[in-house]
Order: sequence, then structure tokens, then C-alpha cells
Amino acid sequence: MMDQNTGARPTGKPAASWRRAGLLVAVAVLTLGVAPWLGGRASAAPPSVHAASYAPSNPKPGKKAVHRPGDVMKPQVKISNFKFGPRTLTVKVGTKVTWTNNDAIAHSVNFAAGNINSKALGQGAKFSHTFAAAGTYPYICDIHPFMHGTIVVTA
Amino acid sequence: MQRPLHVTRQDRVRLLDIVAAALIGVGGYLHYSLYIEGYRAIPTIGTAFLLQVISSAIVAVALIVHLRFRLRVGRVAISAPTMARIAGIGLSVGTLVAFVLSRLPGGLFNFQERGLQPAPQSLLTIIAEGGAVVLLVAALAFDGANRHLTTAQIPVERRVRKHRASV
Repeated sequence: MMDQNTGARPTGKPAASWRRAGLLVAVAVLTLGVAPWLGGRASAAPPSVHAASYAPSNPKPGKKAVHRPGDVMKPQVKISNFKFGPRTLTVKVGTKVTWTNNDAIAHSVNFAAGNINSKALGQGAKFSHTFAAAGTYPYICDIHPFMHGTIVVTA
Repeated sequence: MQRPLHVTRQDRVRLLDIVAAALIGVGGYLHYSLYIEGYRAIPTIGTAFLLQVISSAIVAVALIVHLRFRLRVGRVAISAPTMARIAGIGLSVGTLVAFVLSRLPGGLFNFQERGLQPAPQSLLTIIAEGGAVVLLVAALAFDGANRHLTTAQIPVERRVRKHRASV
């Protein structure tokens, strides 16, 4: 139920000017609020397809890339949409793995063992590490600990 | 000759509302930019960011445009500006609580972040939302005191007018 609030001010002029000013600011806020939506939608990059980063170096045309355990992949990990891609990367001993942050938000690469830690990586920044011994190396993003990845190094 | 500018208590409350609306707008914009920059990809958190942006826009407009109606619930009547201030406090406190929860070991909806990352958006959001809470609480207090003062003054003014008329 609503009723009208009457006679809040003794004079009408200041109230009217406040209301006019309020309306102007409201229109400005709405305009500023809607503009980035329109611009942002038009210029927004399409969501990255994670499958692309899983592709082997020489895929046959027309055939879908399928990865089996033990396959040696391109030693690159892309950080995109708060995910490491591929989540599990298999490489040979002595391979230099490179992480590239494609997000606008900073991420890092931090291994549980071996004292391998990157600094905070801004958009487009890279971090590399050469794996000298075989084994399984799990890692996280220290800024966003729910982001997990694993490097499997084979002999 | 120009009349001297008389700033009333109500004008000060109005100014508090407008500055609080601007701060809530800043908080909403920061959430919007983070949503676009990648948070939309995070399940639940992305939706929560979008809801924060929409709620911020609605509350900011409600604080700026003082609608003149009262919502009557039983014996209690709440004016539209008061409702907007309460909604603003709820939104800003909720945003700050969510920020703190996302920094705790358990995280928030499986989402966890460390410290004041992303920088500088995290710090700016804390300042904006915290400032909005302070200003809106002040606006509620001043508005309540203003109303109390006004209602208490009416009988006195009537008595003074009667007295003057009789003299």
C-alpha cells in the first residue's frame, strides 16, 4: 500500500531544483551505465576454445585432436578464463614449458614442490621453466588457489 | 538582490545520498569491468557479479531520484528514500562480506582469491562500498533526527503563533 508524502518542504523551489538535479544525475548514470554494455558487447572477444590448446603439433585435417595419456604435447600452457589449458600437460625431460596469461586479471604459476614460482603475471605475460627430472608436478595459481594444473614429465 | 543560500539539514541528507549513490555506482562499475575481464567465466561468481552490477545501478538511481511515496507495512510506514538507503547498506555490506569470504580458506562458491587482488580494483571497491555504508548510515541518522526535530517543533511554533496573535 502506498500513500503520498505531502508537504516535506516549506518552499517548493529548492525541492524542485533538487529533484531536477537528481533526475539529471540519474539520466547521466543510466547513460554511462548502458554505454559500456553496448560497446563492451560489440568489442568483447569471443570466448576462447580450450580444445584448440590441446591440439597436437601436426593434426590431420578434418580429424578431431584426441589426446591419450603419454602423448607429448606442445610445451605451452595458456591461462584463460581462470583455467590452465591444458590442465594436464605431458612433456619429455629437459623440455621448457611456457605459461602465457591471456586473462586481463593477474595470475601466477606456483608449484607445490621444487620452489618453482612465477611472479604475478599480467595480461600477455609469460613464465617459463625447464623440467630436468621425470615426475608429476602439480601446481596452482597462488592468487586464485582453485586454479589447478599438472605437468607430467616423462623420461 | 540575491537571497543568501540557506543549506538545510534536509539538503545535507540529500548530499549524503547523492555521494553514496556515486560510491555505489563506482562499486558497480568496478564489478562490471571485472565481469567483462573474465569473472563471467567463473560459475556462480560470474552471476553474482552481474547481479551486483544491476543492483548497484538500481540502488544508485533510487538514491538520486527521491520518489515521494511511503510503503506501509502494518503500522510502520517507510519512505522511499529510507528504503533506498537500507537497500544500499545491504548491498554494500553484502559486497564487503562476499569479499572477505572469498579470502578465507573455504572460499566462496569454490572461488578463492588472495589479498587485495585484483589490484587496484579490490582496494577501490572496499573504499567505495565502505564509504557508501558510512554515508548511508549517516543519512539515515540525520533524516531520522530531522523528522524527530520537525514533529517536536510543530506544537511550539503553533503556540508561538497563537501567542503573537493574541498580543
